[in-house]
Amino acid sequence: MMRYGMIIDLRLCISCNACTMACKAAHGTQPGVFWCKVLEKESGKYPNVTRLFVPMLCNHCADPPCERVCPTGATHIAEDGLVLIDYGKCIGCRACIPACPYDARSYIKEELFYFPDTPLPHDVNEVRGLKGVVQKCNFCADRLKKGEEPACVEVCPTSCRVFGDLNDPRSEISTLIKSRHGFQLLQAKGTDPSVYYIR
Amino acid sequence: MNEFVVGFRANKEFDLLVAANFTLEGAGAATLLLSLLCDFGPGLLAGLIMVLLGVAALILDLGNPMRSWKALARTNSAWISRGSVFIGCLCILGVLYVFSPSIRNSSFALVIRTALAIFSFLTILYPGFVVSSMSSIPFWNTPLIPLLFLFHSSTTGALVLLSLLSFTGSTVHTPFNPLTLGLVLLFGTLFLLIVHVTVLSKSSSAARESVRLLAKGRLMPLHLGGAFLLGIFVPLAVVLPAGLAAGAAGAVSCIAFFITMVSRLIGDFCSRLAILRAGVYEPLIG
Repeated sequence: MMRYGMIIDLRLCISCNACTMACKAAHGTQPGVFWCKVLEKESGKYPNVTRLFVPMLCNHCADPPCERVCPTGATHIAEDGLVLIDYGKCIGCRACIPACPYDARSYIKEELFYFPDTPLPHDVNEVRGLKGVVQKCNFCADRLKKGEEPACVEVCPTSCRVFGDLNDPRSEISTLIKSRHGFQLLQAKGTDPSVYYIR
Repeated sequence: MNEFVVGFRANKEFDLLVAANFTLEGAGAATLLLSLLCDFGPGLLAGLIMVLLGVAALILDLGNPMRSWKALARTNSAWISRGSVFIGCLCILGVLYVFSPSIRNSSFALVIRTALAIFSFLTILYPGFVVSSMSSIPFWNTPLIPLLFLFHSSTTGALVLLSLLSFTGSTVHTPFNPLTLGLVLLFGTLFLLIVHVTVLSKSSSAARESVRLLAKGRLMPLHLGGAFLLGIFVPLAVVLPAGLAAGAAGAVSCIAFFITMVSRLIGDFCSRLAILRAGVYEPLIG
């Protein structure tokens, strides 16, 4: 059985945030909602300062705590390992948000638009009209069905993201995890994320 | 806390209405349970009203309240689902028992009372498990939270019962001394509050940050002023001497118990709100 995953090379990320914008363009997320974002970590003191950029998104865990706490079954695991949300079932209890260790989820209290109060004609309608529910990255499930890669992977100028099948030992992602010692964030939580990092 | 910087993040989702729900549901269910043991009508009614107000607070907090019935779907894994069942059964049985004399006097009365007592106890318990099941927030993810919430609810319930008994001048036979029970529970809650903070202050970095917020940070007024002062010390200061003076001056005790009840309710709410707001996630990268 296929299990989609991603590996991100932290040495290559330059925090251009092209992935953040590509995700917004692909899904039409509203102001203040970021399914994909890049976090910064500054260490050391002048003149020996380093900055680490950490692209973050839903980790599509194999044992997702968000799925366990969801009282309606809106959050569910698909056959290909994606953790998806059925917006028709979500009641907006937001228990999944504190359950997620990766700050991957956003609650949509009210619908907002960028320019200025109404959607533009060419705006994507994927999340249009969804109020009172929780949203998150879905690994661009619609693009995957068309054989395309997630928008954040396709747009990255440094190719720091690689996407593929974690259950295929010959896939590029599996090879990289093994050869470059890919690690998962907050491994001690036991969620078994599908997103790996190389440092 | 900047959402684009790796560091500590505080919980923002479980806030005022969730804290109000936990407080009213827990205290209401405890009042109901204790009143069942005493067969005290006003206590049953007060408990039921508090539970219903708590449910209203929760439904107001939902993003899609009209779909709230869907929360019954996942009792196998979600504490919120289980709680929905407990609360639902409690409300239905409570309304039937409190408002229907024919049911109270029927041959099924004992069965309904027993079921009501069981669901009251489960309603007191489940909010603590909802919070403690969040493994991403170390300050919440401890068995002390369900125990602390149990004591909070029981203490508030006992003091509400004490206040109502004093106010109504009721002479119902209670299988326990409400004043003694209230005092024991107050001391128990105080002990658990201190133990929870002390144990977590030696835990992970996120837990230590939670304790710092409560002890020295922006949550200090809510925690020390609300949880400790209003929730524990004011009731203790009032209940002890009020209880001693009850034989000589019943009217004084009535007002004192009322102040105790109100102070305890506010303190209970402040404590739970402080615990929710102090929930800090583990940093993503050390």
